[in-house]
Amino acid sequence: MNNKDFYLQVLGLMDVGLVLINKNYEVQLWNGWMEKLSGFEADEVIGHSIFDVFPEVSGSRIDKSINKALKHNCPSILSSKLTRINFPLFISSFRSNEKKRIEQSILIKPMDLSDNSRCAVISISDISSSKLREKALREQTTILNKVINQLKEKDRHFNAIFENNQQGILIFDGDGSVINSNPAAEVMLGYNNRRLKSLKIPALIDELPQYLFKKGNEDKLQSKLPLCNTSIEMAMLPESGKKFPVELNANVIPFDNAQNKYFVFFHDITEKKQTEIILYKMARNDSLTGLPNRSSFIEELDKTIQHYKRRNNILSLFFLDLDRFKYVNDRFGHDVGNHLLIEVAKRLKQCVRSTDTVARLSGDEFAILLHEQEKIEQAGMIAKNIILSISKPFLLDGAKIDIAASIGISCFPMDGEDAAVLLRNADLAMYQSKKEGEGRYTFYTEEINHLLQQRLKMETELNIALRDGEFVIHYQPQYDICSGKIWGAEALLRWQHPQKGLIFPNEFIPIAEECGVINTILDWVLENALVDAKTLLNNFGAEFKISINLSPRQFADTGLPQKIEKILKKENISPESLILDITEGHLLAEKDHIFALLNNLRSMGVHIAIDDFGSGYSSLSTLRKLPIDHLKIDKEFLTTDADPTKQKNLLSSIINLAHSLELTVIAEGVENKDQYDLLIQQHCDITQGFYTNQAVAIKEFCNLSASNNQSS
Amino acid sequence: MGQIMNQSENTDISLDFLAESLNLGLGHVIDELSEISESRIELHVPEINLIPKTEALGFTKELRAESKAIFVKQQFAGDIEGEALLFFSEDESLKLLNGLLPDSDATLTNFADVEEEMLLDITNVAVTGVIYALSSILELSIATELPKCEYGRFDEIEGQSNLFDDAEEMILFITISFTLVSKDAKAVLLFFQHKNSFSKLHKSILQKLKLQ
Repeated sequence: MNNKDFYLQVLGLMDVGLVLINKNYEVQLWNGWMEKLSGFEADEVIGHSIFDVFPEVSGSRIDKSINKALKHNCPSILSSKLTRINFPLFISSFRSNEKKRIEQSILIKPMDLSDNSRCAVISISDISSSKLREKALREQTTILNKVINQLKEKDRHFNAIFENNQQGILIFDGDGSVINSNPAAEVMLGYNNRRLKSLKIPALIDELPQYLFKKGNEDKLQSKLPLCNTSIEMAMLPESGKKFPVELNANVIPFDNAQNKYFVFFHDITEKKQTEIILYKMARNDSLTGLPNRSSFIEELDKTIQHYKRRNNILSLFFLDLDRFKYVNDRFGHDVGNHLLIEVAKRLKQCVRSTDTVARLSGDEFAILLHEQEKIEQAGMIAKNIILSISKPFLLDGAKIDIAASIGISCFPMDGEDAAVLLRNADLAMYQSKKEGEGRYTFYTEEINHLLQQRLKMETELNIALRDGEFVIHYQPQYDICSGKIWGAEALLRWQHPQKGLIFPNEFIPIAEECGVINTILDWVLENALVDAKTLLNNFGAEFKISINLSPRQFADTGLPQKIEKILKKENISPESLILDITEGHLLAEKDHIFALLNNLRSMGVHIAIDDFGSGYSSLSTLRKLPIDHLKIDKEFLTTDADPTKQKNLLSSIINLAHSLELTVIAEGVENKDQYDLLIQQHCDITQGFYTNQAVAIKEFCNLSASNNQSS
Repeated sequence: MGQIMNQSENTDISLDFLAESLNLGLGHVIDELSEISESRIELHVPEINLIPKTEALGFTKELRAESKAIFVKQQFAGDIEGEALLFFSEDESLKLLNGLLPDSDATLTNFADVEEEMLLDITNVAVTGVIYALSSILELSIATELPKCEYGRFDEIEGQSNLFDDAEEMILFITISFTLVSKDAKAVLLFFQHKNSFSKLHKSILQKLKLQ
């Protein structure tokens, strides 16, 4: 084999196409690869112009590049992308017999031959498979780029959230080392990012101690962390050392167990906690005195009872009500009243141990819980001290104020085993204290309870009485001592109970006042007495007087004069026929208001009488100023156990005084002839009582008219 | 005239001549690039300077900041010797190649084999065009090698080459810029030539101008 054959054989084995073209564009070399892919044997093309073999490349970049090589000695590299045309070379597809034109990379180089002639060497590479691989790679790259861009975008989002979040964020690994922190966390904790990264979580969060971060304690750590969208309160320890509360939630960034990472979001809730404390205090404490209020007192009482049930301890509960507090409020105004309540609260606290509880239940009602008492008697001692303390004058805003305290005491477990019962029983005992007079204390007893039951029963019956018309008015005749004739009548309320018979007002009026039916009853009396007055006037003449008692509750009714006027007009009764009786004690209590009311009534023509005169402390000057027409002497002045001389002189003085003030004197409660004679002797004007007549129903009263007339 | 002109003036005349000659001789380069890109190409007057190598390479500072750089080198030999060097950032090269591609083709988004082949193709068109223009005008015999391409971080490429050797050496620095009108793309080709080789070129120019 000569050299030429050897090289041709080698060229035939090459996996690229090789074509040699002389200056006339004639093919000089055509290797085996070209034979295979072009379909032309070397013998068929050698000596022929390349453009005859492949006419389609004529005039193309391939043509120009061959020309550049041959004429200008310039090589060319023709990229498949920038060369619109290539050689018509084909391979068979693996999957079918279809021939497929290959993608080509073409190099054209000039080559000077030894005979000074120049030829062009064309080498052609099949880059179809490279193209496919590249296509696949490009698709992968495109996808990868998209993913990278998305990740970058997410990273940007995450960074924006992380950096700008108002909540603090700490990221830490399983051993508690802080990996990263956001600016909010750094501000809240007072550490910079570098310093935080040198710390461990136990140094920052109280509730996550070091042992949780030991190997094998991952479950314990996760149980302590508020995962799954929950949050808990924890305490953060900042650089300043001043702990602050945070609301914190956490999450796990799972790797394998050993490499789990965690992050916590937290925000400072110091202000929220302070607000909560204020709201809690507001909800549980009385804003005026700062003492626990009713609901928190009952809560504590309940807790204490539960605790004491296990330990068999005893405790005492005081229910305290201030006497005359309403008077203070009305007399000095609500500011002074409030000031008084504050001072009372202070005194109460001074009277008990610091462990005992003083609460304000409402208005002027207080409660005291005395813990762990050995003897019940101790409660009595403390109650005495409290009563003594409260009875000392209060100097408030320049005024000297005297009040008193009424206390009811119930004890656990004797008087009840739950808060509601104990409080109710102490209240009942306090009520009993009030009944007995101000500044007293009373231990709850079954008897008190019994009285209460009776009271409750009576309350129900009073309502029934109103509904069923069981109230009646009896009239007690009043006689003119001089003439012996009936001068007038006092209307007296009676309750015609279906079972108990006739009940006098002193038995039911206090209860009616407490249960709120008193006003209805009083209005009923006023209206019906004036209706009866019409009958009485008809029977006894125009000079007849009808006396009706006014209750302090009616004083408060500013519409009372109009109400009376309306009835008088309706019944066509002269106002001069009506006498309104007002108890002396009540006159003194609310002087200004009552004076105005009485003046108003008097200007209408209605007569006013002071009832029970002598039982109170009216001064003579007061009596002089009062807008009154009649004076009713208290029956105490007629009792026979007094020194007869003194009794006579006193009675004489009162009657003379009244006469000098041009007042008619009416003596009530005259029970015997001696009293009656004494009154005649002392020139009393009018008399009433059992001695002359007891109170009777209207019908019976009218029957008296005959005898009256007979007397006249 | 030759006796009264100093060397500096001669050099300036040589460079002006060279620039004008290239301007006139580069027509077929423009034609071929227009054919490839199917876009009208405007050639700017070539700038030719004899400057220190470091100064010529000053623009590479920007490439150091880029993530990837492409470095194409094409040597030529014969009556004059030298090498043409082209530097691109990846973004620049893709912009140029996308400018050359017909609009119907998909946009190239990263530099790979196809892009390398394209870049070698157009570099070869430009460099061989310039060399041919020089050799034709000055009647010199110059053979051009096929270009080679390096792709990677600039510092790595620089480390593997002797690019900054003999930094103070004066080199011929030819800037040829053209604009693909419809594609709004620009390209700058830079030629380096060793001073020794430039002396030969200079001599040939002076002879051509009958100044020597």
